[in-house]
Amino acid sequence: MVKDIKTEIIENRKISKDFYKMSFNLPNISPKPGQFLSIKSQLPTGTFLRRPFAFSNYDKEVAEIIYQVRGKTTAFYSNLKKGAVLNILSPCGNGFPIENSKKAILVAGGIGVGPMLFCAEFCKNRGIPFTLIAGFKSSDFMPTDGTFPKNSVITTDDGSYGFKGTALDYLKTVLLQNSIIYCCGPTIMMKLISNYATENFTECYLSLEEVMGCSVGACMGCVINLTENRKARVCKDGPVFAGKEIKWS
Amino acid sequence: MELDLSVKIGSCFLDNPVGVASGTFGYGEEFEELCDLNKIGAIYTKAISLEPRLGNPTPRIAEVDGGMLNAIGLANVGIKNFIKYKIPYFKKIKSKIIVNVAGSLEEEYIEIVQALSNFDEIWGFEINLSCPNVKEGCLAFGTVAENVERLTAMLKKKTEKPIIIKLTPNVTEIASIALAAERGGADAVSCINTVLGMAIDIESGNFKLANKTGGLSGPAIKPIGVAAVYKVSRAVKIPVIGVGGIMCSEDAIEYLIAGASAIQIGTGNFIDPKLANTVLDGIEKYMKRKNLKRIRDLNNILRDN
Repeated sequence: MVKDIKTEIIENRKISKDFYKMSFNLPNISPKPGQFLSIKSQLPTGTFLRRPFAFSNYDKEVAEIIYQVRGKTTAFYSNLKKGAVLNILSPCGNGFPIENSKKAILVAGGIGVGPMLFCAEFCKNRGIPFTLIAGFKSSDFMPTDGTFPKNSVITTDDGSYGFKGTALDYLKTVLLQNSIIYCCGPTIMMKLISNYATENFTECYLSLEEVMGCSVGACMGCVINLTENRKARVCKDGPVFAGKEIKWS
Repeated sequence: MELDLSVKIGSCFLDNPVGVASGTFGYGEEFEELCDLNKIGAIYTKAISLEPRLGNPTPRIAEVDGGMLNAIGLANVGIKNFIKYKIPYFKKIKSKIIVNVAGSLEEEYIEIVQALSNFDEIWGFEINLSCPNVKEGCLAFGTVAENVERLTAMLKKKTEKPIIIKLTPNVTEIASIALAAERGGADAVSCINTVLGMAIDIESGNFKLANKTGGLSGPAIKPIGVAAVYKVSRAVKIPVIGVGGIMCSEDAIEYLIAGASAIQIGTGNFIDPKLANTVLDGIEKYMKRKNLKRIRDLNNILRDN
């Protein structure tokens, strides 16, 4: 059930070249990895729509998001201090269907790292075997605060840290037997990961992104194309979809 | 002092003047966890067309300073699914349900109104002649007074329920279209639909909406809506329902003072899902403070010499 919660920022800080981490109290909810929250704050600028962010963690009633400055609203959010009031709709969307019986291969691209870290935490707590592969353009973009679990693989396009290449390049070296791929990243990356999973007969779930209006399934703004000429709302029917269901453009 | 919040449209009544605008509140159910639906005067449904519509390609939404552009393209479940899956839910809530009707041809409007007229769960119809996104001619249709009068008259013959004509601001003289609706027998007009707009990403050169143009809503259009309500309410005798950029109770009160008999909250629902409840509380407080008994007493606040 989606709740409308008023809360305050506990911490908000920069964690890499243009990624930020924000945490706040969000009592009495139990979000699943892949679910998101929708934030409203009093903006001095002319923009006013809510912004959706995936949970990057939820522990002891404290929610955390990792976000990127993309425009005026997120730039404003990045300057909010401890104690700033937020209105949050949460938890929104469906989340990843993580199975106990199979190995979870968690693939993140760029800012998609947030929800995949939450997936990793979820797997760790439930004893589900997992690997986290997190790809970044370069080491500058990589969060620097020791957020990554031990068995993570970091890839950078320029080789400035970890494996040189993309997350997909590394994924190609991983044995996919008895595994499910869960992924969040730029659309073009998710399309490639989804196609790779299909070619290798591996189940794959992806968390998609679209510009949202209402965040609760009413406005039909954030739709994506599915197979058989269907459309689905990212905010309500997603944001997580099975790769085989998505009709990539 | 007991307040009378009711609003008369045709021969029917709404419990209070605060409605939620078509396209911003789904079919009501989407907001049931976040807002007290029983306290909403009227829920104007997402536009219903004869056949299901998938709508426009994405991006369908772009935020601009002071507002939002949308080009959803009337994506909806179609009338068969609406009857089967959406109408049963309306039994559970007290709010009046006003079905927003969209069509590409006059026959479509007539067929929809006729098909839904016998459902007790439906209180009335709002006729969307002004959605700027559907290329088949919605916009052109609603901008020609003769068309509006003719279609309104045809629809009135098909139903006993109130018919509300939603007016587009994208015309030279909105009052002339309102007068045409009144001549056709409309029970009310809603004023205004979104304003035609466009936004371009200057780095990529791309339109921000896949549809290129869209409807502007939000605080930016409130003065346009208030002016339209003022003009239209002085031109016609039927009630005018004010809509456009209402983000708080003060905005709603401004519309009522300008001449509206009721209001609709649109884009504001996206920012605060319980805004309809807050706005109603605010109107009641204002009426008590100003010693007003009925909603129409707000029309008399305006010092218009």
